[in-house]
Amino acid sequence: MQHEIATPLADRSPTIVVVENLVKRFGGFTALNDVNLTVAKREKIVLCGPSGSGKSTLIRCINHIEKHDGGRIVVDGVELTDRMADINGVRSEVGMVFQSFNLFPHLSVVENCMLAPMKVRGLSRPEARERAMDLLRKVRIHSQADKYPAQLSGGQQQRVAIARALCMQPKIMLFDEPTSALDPEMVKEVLDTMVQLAAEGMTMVCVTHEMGFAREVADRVVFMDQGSIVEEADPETFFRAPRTQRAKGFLNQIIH
Amino acid sequence: MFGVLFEQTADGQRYVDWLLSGLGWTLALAFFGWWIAFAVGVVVGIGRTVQNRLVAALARLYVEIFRNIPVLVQMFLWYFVLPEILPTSLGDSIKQIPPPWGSFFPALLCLGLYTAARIAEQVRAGIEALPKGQTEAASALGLGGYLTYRHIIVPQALRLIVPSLTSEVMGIYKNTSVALTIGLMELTAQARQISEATFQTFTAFGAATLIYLALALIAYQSMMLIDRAVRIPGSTPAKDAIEPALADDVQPGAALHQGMEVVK
Repeated sequence: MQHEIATPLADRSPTIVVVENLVKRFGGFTALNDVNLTVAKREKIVLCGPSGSGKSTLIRCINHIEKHDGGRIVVDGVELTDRMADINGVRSEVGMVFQSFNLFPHLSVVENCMLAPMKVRGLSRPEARERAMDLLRKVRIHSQADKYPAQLSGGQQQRVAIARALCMQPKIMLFDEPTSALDPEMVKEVLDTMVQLAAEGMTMVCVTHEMGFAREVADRVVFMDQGSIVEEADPETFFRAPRTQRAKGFLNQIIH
Repeated sequence: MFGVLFEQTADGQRYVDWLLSGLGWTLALAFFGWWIAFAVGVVVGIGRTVQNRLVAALARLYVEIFRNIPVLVQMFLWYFVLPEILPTSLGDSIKQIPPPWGSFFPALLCLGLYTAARIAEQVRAGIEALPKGQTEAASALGLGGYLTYRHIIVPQALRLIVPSLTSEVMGIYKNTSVALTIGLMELTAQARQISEATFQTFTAFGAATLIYLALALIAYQSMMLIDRAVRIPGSTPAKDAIEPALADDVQPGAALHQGMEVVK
């Protein structure tokens, strides 16, 4: 199932996520109002905007952690609906990294990474362990593999969370403010990991206020405000010459 | 003062043997009752938290019924009423189960299912105390409902509630004394029999009291050991984490939920 997309990037590579006219409400509050977004394979998108603008809600809708109220979301050719039988099949193709890490505290680092590959992908224990150790090595935390999450620093936990998501060999990675809960000195180690991931060609959608990261990695910056996408541009254009007043105001506030 | 316990009884035993026999029944009732309670309680507690409304309603119904009827009344219901409402042939064959099993099995069911309702509420509170991010992270990895409960939610919830389960362990073995009302010769019943045979009321019940106290200490210490053994490395003791969450609904003093718990 392919989709005709009008953006130049999509012409070169097939899309992985299509969001059309997305609406999400929480009670009377409209968190997302008619949002359209297309993510091409290997594309890196940075979502930014003031708090409450709906950026986290948008990526949470993409793996159906939040159920949308209107519009369409198609992930890897499968439309997400309330009734779909195999939502877990879609989710297992979409890696997610949370602001608060959400590691499983009762499992060791390596077990955190092994659980889903074994239970969802059906890997044997040795296979899952080998894959987990490979990816933990990649995020440079394999020496802590048998520790428990509570014994690690925030930055280390977030790198484990990235490795855990990668163990499912997802086709796209969603990052929901991955560095916002970290002490300043730990932000870099997580961003470095994400830059490395981007360099390897992973498709990424990142909600982040790390503008240095956006400049370095993003193909496209998507600026949201009050539940809508207000502006989209490549990072250079967005940071140098934002078109909308709202984006200018936002950039003034976050760039000191 | 306990010398009388070592005197010969009419049947050639010593009174202390009566006590030990009673202790055996008390322990058997508490031990096997506990596993019934734990198994049923975990299942019902999980049922309270699932999205399926029918399952959640049935689990709730179970909890409200078994938690809010006094243990003594439940004991009589299992022993006297159940054989009457079953088909005659089945009821008659239940009545013909020879003692002490005819009393033991109803008491076992009664205590197990009553305590299960209380454990179910602890399990529910433990599950609800977990951060929402745990379920979200599991979902994001593609783990379905069953796998999430099996590997993420239940293992953490059970660890959280070990301290509060301690009072349920102590509760079930204290409640075994209610079984004397349906004729099971457990510890309290034996103490009463010794008291009647020797007129040494103080000695008989004093000995029973000391045994109950010793059991309480053993139960408490065992649960402390279990708590320490299952504690997640690097985490704070589970008690601190759960207490705010439990404060609203299952801690003692929440009069509404504690309902008619009179026999403990």
